[in-house]
Amino acid sequence: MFLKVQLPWNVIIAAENLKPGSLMLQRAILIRLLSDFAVKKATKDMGYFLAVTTLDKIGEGKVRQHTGDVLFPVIFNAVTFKVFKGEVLEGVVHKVLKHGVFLRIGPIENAYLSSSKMPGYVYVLGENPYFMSQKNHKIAKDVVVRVVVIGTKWMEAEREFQALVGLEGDYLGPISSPDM
Amino acid sequence: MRCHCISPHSNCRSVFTCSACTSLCVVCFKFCRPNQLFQMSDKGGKAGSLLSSKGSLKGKDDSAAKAKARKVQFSTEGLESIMSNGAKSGGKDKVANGGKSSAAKDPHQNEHRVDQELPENFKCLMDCEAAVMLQGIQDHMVMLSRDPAIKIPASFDKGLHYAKSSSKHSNPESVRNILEPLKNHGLTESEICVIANVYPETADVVFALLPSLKGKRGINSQPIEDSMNELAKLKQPM
Repeated sequence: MFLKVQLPWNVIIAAENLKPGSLMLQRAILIRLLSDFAVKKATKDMGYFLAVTTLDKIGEGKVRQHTGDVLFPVIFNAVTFKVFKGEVLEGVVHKVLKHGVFLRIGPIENAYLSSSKMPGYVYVLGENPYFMSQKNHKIAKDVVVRVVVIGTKWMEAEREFQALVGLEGDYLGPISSPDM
Repeated sequence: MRCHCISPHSNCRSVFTCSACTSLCVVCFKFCRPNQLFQMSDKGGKAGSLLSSKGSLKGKDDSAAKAKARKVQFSTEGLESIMSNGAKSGGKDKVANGGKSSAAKDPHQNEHRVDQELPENFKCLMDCEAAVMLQGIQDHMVMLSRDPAIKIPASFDKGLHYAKSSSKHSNPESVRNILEPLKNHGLTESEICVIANVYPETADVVFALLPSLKGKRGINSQPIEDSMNELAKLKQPM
């Protein structure tokens, strides 16, 4: 689910960016914060970083000895996305394999739904393979499926999450788009 | 603010928080004793740094760090138990391999512990609320993209697309007003967000998808049913 977080960070401004005039300094701090935020991509604790919403406070700068940089503690609000075990989400199927399907849930590209977690669904081979249930519910590419998260895994090297999801439970499975 | 290193440096007189990876105190340039789960080597403060002045956590983390060897220093205690749980299950080579590990046979048996995993400065957002916020930023994107120095996170587009596609309400405020009173009936913030995101039609769906509520069914089924009825009214504008 989406989270709104308030974070303290330390933003380091190089000496050459320290011009007189507070506006340019604030701009430099903000630009640096956005840059650090974008580069970070995700953390295990907060999930995927999506956007900075507000900058609450810029603290007093401290000069770092030896380098001449100035370090500003800032407090800002941001929107992140993280999935939790037990959460009910809707994902879009983007790959169908014999033993399961991969769903995309927001920034998470690989949420795996194993065939063993799809009770009542059988694999149907073909040019565009899919899973079909006895009640003629189809899980194919680009179908939206409501799933429950069984577990998540944080991949430090790739800085991304993977999720294992399932359909074991009531009211889970492919959903049709509502008539508007 | 005092230096929040786990072993305060004797000559650290200045008042500054270490960068969250606690590798180097930027004031006295001595290494703190690492006590955090994340050994992030890159710079920039992270949420690991102590927000609130919980000096007492220092002493607790000290012994806990020795015992568990992996902790995250957040301001709520609940997170510690979850993180240590995560550290333990990490050792079991968990669920990405097929989900047959401990108690994963029925995921609903595991209590929905989202809110226990969140420290105090985290707030759950409904998909519709997030969609509004992210769309606001998207509206400024043309202007933002003119400045090459401004970088937008890579996940922003995917997050926005997901929020818009899964957002089923056009008016997040009214949904929030309908579901907020459920907090008084024992529902947590995260459970309310899950309800809003799923947009169930009846209270049965709510209890099926949130098994943690089952234990309280007799107590607060009526308020939930009332809220579902009101939500259903939102679907069809009167």
